[in-house]
Amino acid sequence: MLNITSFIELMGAFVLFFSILQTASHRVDFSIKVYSIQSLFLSITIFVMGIYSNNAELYLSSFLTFAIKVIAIPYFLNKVTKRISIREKIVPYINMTNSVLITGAITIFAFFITKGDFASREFIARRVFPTALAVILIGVFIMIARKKAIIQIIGFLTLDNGIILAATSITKGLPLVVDIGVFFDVFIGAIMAGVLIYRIRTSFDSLDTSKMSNLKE
Amino acid sequence: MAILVLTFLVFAILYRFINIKLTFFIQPVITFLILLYALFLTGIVLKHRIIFGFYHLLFLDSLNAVLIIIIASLSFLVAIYSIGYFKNELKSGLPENKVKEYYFWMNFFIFAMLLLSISNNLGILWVAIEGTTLATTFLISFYRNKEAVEAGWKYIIICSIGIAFAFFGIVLLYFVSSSFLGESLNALNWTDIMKVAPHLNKHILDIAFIFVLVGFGTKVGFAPFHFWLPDAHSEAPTPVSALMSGVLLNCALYAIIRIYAILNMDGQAYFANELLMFFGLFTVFIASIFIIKQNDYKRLLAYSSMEHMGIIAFAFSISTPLAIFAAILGMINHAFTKSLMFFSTGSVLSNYHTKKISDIRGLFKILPFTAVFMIIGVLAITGNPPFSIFISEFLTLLASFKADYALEGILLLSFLVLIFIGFIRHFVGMAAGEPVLEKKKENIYMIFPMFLILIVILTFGIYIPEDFKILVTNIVVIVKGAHGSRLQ
Repeated sequence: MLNITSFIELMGAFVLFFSILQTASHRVDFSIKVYSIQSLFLSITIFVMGIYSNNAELYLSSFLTFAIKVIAIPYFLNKVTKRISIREKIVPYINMTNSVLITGAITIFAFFITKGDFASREFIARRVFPTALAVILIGVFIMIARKKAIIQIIGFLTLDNGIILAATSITKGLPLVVDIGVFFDVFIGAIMAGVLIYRIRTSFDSLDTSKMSNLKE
Repeated sequence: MAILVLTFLVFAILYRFINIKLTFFIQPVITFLILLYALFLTGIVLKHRIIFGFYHLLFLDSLNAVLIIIIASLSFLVAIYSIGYFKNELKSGLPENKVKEYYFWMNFFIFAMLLLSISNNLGILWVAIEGTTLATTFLISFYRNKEAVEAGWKYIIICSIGIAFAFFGIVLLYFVSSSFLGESLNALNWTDIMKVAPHLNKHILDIAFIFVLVGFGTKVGFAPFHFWLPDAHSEAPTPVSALMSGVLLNCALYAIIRIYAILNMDGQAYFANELLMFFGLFTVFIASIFIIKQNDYKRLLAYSSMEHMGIIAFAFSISTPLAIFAAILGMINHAFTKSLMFFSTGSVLSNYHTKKISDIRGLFKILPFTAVFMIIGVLAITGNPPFSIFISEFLTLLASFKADYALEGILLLSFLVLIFIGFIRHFVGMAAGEPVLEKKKENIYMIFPMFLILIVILTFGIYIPEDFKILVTNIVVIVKGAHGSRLQ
């Protein structure tokens, strides 16, 4: 019998699963797809949370997640990759097998450090918070461990998903005004980073950020 | 108060449709009017201590009154300087469209800074700080060459990670405050949080502060999160560098201080104090090393900005009324003096198009006014009397000795001496000697703002107005809480 709390936890777990899958991705278009599906599960998590706590703001927040993160940002990123026609594979600093092992360790670490704390108040879904923390850390890991500029953007977006998940798990979501502001910023940020990628492509002839070394001391 | 913020948003869009020559002259007028309005609002704050606007989402007390004055006056100076700078650039072949782009992002940038400084809601404050990152990214990669694009990319990636961490900190803060204030917009209002601050869970507050300090600290340029800073400040066009160094860093530090004030409500934020002190000193240390061995004068100035932010953070962490006085004075002084430095070196850059210190010799003979202002700037920024930074640095050191931080004070002093040597060696080399480049005509629009700054820093070096002292007394209450400040 699946009650609503464990359903929310299941959805949160899917968000985590797709961020781990992200580290194993070999191709850019696959990474974008994984991000899109991850955002879909985030959107469902927020929606179910809305049903559970009977909060209309969460429905809107869930809808915004769907519109911006499942549709708009992946659409835009796909357009960018098509225009600069990336055929090359993703170049990692740390190879895929080790990456997945490290993300496993990160997840255990996230559960470990949240063991005693945050017990001061009733949670809706207690195990979603460490899951979210793991997603945040994996996002940071992706940004560090991958050389391609576009994958670094996806790492940031994963990190952002983790934070939104954390916010919904411990506080039933942030106030709507703030939420809309955050969505707006992330959306514009993704677009601007996309535009910068064009410029990197034109001035460096590559998207490999390890080739950017003109500004070292 | 909404006028204050909206003006720049409106003009950012309006300038798209206005002729460039007109834009050049509208911008100084607008910023000057806003400066007068900011002074007027500060006058009200002096009487009533705190004023609210727009459903309590905006507010103004003594702390952010100081900040909006800094923002408005620097915007005004930069507006004048931009006329000269971009006339030069247009002459050397920059397309008009790019100048329009500059004015668009510049106004959006000022809008975001004003919004962050007067917003009462920490969520909106976060949105505004991210807004400043977005507004300045394209300004940094303005020239679109390899270095500029690289700097822009580093900036948006590093600052976005940092700010995401700060967001997590704010979520944690909301988590603790919402158990007292309910889950609504109020639970993120700074004035409301301050009312319940003593009851909040100390442990989670400390964790939230770590995230906020690391997050916004990335934007302040605290070492070791500073890697974007010298790149960004050296690649951006000079007027932008001046505004980023002088104002944006202060704004980010302001955000940290707001959160710090919540922890320090009962005057017992020992953990936060230690963190702030560590980051402050470490930043000054890193900056001093890089200043000594620098061969790019804009990067050198960027490291010097880090140094001053470190000193100000150090002063806040001592947290006695004297130290807070020094910190606030330091914020103002650094904003003006650093702009003077960027303006004068910016003239050199826009005339000779090189950033290498070793390429430039004998400025006294080829750009006499600029060279004089540059040397005055060097003396001022390294803390020589009679300029105002001397007062704030001296008071910081005095406060650290008085509060039993003698060892830290001595460390700071020795870093400052190193930085002084570095500055003198590099800049005297640039100004003196026989010139290798030909003489150029100096632009009045570039000289005039430097002259205005000189008046300000000399005045503050000799005389501190009574109203300012009242403001600082109020700020001490804000940062330390009414209880904590009475103890001293």
